[in-house]
Amino acid sequence: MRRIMEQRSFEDIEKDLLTHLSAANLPKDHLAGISRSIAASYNSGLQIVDWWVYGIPAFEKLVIQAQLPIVETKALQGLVQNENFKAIEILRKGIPRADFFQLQLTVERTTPAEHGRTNGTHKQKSTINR
Amino acid sequence: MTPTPTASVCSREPFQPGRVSRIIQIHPSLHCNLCCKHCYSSSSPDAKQGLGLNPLIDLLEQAAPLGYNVVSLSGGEPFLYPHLSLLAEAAKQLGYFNSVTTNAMLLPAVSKQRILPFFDLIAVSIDGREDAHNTMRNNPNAFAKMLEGVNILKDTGRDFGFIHTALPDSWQLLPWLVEFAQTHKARLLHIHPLERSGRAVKGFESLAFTPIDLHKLYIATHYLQSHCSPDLFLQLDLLHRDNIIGNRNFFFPHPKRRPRPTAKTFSNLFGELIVNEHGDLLPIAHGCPDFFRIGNIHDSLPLDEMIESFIDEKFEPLLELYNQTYNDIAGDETLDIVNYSERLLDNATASPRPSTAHQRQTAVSAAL
Repeated sequence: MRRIMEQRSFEDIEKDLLTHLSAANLPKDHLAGISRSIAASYNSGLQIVDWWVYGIPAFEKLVIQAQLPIVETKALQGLVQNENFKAIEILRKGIPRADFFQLQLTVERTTPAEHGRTNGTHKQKSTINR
Repeated sequence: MTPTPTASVCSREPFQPGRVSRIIQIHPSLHCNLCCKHCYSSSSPDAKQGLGLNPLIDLLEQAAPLGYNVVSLSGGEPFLYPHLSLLAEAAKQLGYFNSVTTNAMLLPAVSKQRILPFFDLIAVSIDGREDAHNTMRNNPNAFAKMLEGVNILKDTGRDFGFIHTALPDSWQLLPWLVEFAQTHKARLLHIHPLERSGRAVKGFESLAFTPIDLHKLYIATHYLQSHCSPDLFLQLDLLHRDNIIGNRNFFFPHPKRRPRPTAKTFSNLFGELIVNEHGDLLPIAHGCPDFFRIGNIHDSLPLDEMIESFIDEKFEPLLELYNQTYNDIAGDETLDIVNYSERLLDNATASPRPSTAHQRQTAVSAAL
């Protein structure tokens, strides 16, 4: 599978990571949500190729870019059902013919109130582009 | 396949894709040129005794047909073991993938460099930047000499990696470790949480990983992996609970109805055999309690008979141990990031178990 990565210097990568993880009073539940998302990605057989972390100072949103062989449609189903991901964008990629999915999985931080309101009625957006 | 302490859920093989590792981990001696503060085996310059060469070669000859295919040498400092060259050469001739964990300080010696061609992977211990590394190693020149050794490894062109004993704040050090590993063209960065055994019990008794520390270490490792793959492979000896629950590698349903394995299929279930500094053969990991001892390399019994006897006496208790550990993890929803090997060893040590025939015999002999 090909790697499609934004070109970033290692200094930027390091700064992003340390800034976000060093945020004061980062709640355990929030970190737990991110860890769960990572575990879910690996459980599905995804190869994570990039991350983007948003929010200053702490994780407000995390976007994970990953790849999956195009035959692994069952894994896709599992991902779509996983409520850790607020949004999933799925693109078919490959030249001369599409042989893998490129996915962008969005994990967003929710407040306890939002979690209680959306739990069980979580609206998840997923788009598949042909 | 039962996971080893170094197993990742994805079972990625960075150096020989497709190979399923069945490991013989050997601690031939506790002799070391250092006296590190965190050493789980309490190795030191005073611990000079080592295992004989012939019993080890016999073991490897017998283990190969039973499916074992990797020899992992540790210690102590393996390059102080006088028979290292012959042992590594014999293992290579038997078809093993040889790996060794070393502080690399002795590699500048030409005699040690002659041994390097027998190893497929050399893992160099690193505790952090120079000051931190020297402090942990109790030696003001440890980092400089380690770097000399690393430069020699680079010149040989052999695959090598770094192994870091992670402390609770190691997530902050990880970017530096990754950059250090990449700068020196390492293929592997292995992150192993501190084991509070040996000398580490005294020096780090109050040290504990909080759930937040574990999450940060887990997140940082996976974040950095995505940015340094495929040139550098990061191996973290921590698992997420979600990768354990429902995973048949971690529990054995209906243990009493399970078909009895044989010596030939044993390595499919228990992929790591440890030989400690006394020559005892143990499953799980170094520090595994004596109840689960399979035998000793100095016993006259062949390895397959030792394993068959172990299966007769200890197979069910071993499955129960794995299942108990799995149930503990599954039942504790506050536990997200798991040091699986530590949990297994803690349960193995904590539960009182009936003495085995061997132990009763030993007790009788001692009394006489």
